[in-house]
Amino acid sequence: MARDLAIDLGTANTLVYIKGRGIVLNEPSVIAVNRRNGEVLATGHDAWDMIGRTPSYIVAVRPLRGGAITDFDITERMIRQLLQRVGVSRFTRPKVVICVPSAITEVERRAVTDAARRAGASDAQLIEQPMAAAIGANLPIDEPVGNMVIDIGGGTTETAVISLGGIVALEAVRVGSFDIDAAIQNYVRREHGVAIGERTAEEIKIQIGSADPVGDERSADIRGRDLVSGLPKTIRLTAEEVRFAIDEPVASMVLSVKRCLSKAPPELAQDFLARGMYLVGGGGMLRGLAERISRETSVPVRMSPQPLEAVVLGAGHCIENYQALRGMFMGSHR
Amino acid sequence: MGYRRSVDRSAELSTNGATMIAMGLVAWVFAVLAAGCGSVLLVLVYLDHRASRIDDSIASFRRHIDALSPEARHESMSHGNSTQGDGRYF
Repeated sequence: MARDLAIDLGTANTLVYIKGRGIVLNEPSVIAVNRRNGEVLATGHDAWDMIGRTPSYIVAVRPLRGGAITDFDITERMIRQLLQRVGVSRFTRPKVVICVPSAITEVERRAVTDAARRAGASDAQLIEQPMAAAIGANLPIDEPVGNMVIDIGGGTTETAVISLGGIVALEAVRVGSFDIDAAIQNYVRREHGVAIGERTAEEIKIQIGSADPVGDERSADIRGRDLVSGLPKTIRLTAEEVRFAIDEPVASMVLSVKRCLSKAPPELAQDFLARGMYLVGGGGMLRGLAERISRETSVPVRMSPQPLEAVVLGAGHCIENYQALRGMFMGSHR
Repeated sequence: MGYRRSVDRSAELSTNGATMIAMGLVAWVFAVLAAGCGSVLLVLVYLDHRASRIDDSIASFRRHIDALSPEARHESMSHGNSTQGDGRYF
């Protein structure tokens, strides 16, 4: 008998929760495929190490970009690989709950559920990421009070107001932490004439990136390729430069939070002032982001204790209480 | 004689006709009563069913809310095996 499972199919990372066991897998959402014969060569960490370092016949790609599925076939293969790795086969047919961005289209929705069913799931249900995040962040969503959750992932920023077990207001933009990395890449290319890769940009973000001035302003030496000479070159970037470089995507995130606040009913708005907003997702870990959102909205912002796992834990709770929480799944009618 | 026989026959015919009309009326009354009773029964069944559906909805909503309570979530959340903390306020 297969154990039912929950999957957080994120743009950056994929996490799997097995009923009764907890989180069993947490890996980058990357798959490496041999273009000559279509074989899957690696997934997760192994595939992540291959990004930008493969011969021409091997492609290491992220099947999701901006919270959307860019390649249905690759996504299906990745889901199949994931399920196989956690022990799902043709004979053990578990129920699967998959977390997806709320802005997912009907076609993408069907593609994900079909992929899970073809991979061996007896039943595949989808749940919106902010809803799962609110459950996983342990917010009191069973009470008639306004709970606001901001989920900043790799490709999307989703803000939701939740009360009495349902979404009251929702705002989603296709801007996430990968857009911050891209902004850093573009800045270094434009201002310093140096090309850097995705991974270097991410390292810069983690080391010296910030959305608002923080006490510890550092600088970092960056190695890349000079666009004029084509030779390796080292440059020094300051925290202030990085903050300037990433201001546009950060401003978009803050704006989406403000839009969600404006959609919330006035009765719930007073709850936010008292209880604050909760920040989850890897993108929320950018230094100074919580302070900036708080400064621009005048609402306190609280960081979830488990920002990376909140979504899958929420979906895991849905799989633990499948019958009682069926109404939360996308497309279901309570 | 002939006249008398024809009078008797017409009287017999009119008695039979009256009986048939009366029986037809009774049948109609029964049919209407039966239809009325049936309708009332259907309405009662529908109302009962609707009441039970409302009860089901309430029970279902309660189960939904109960499943989201902190006590119900405690076990699932304890499966999170990464760093635990109290969160920070800004």
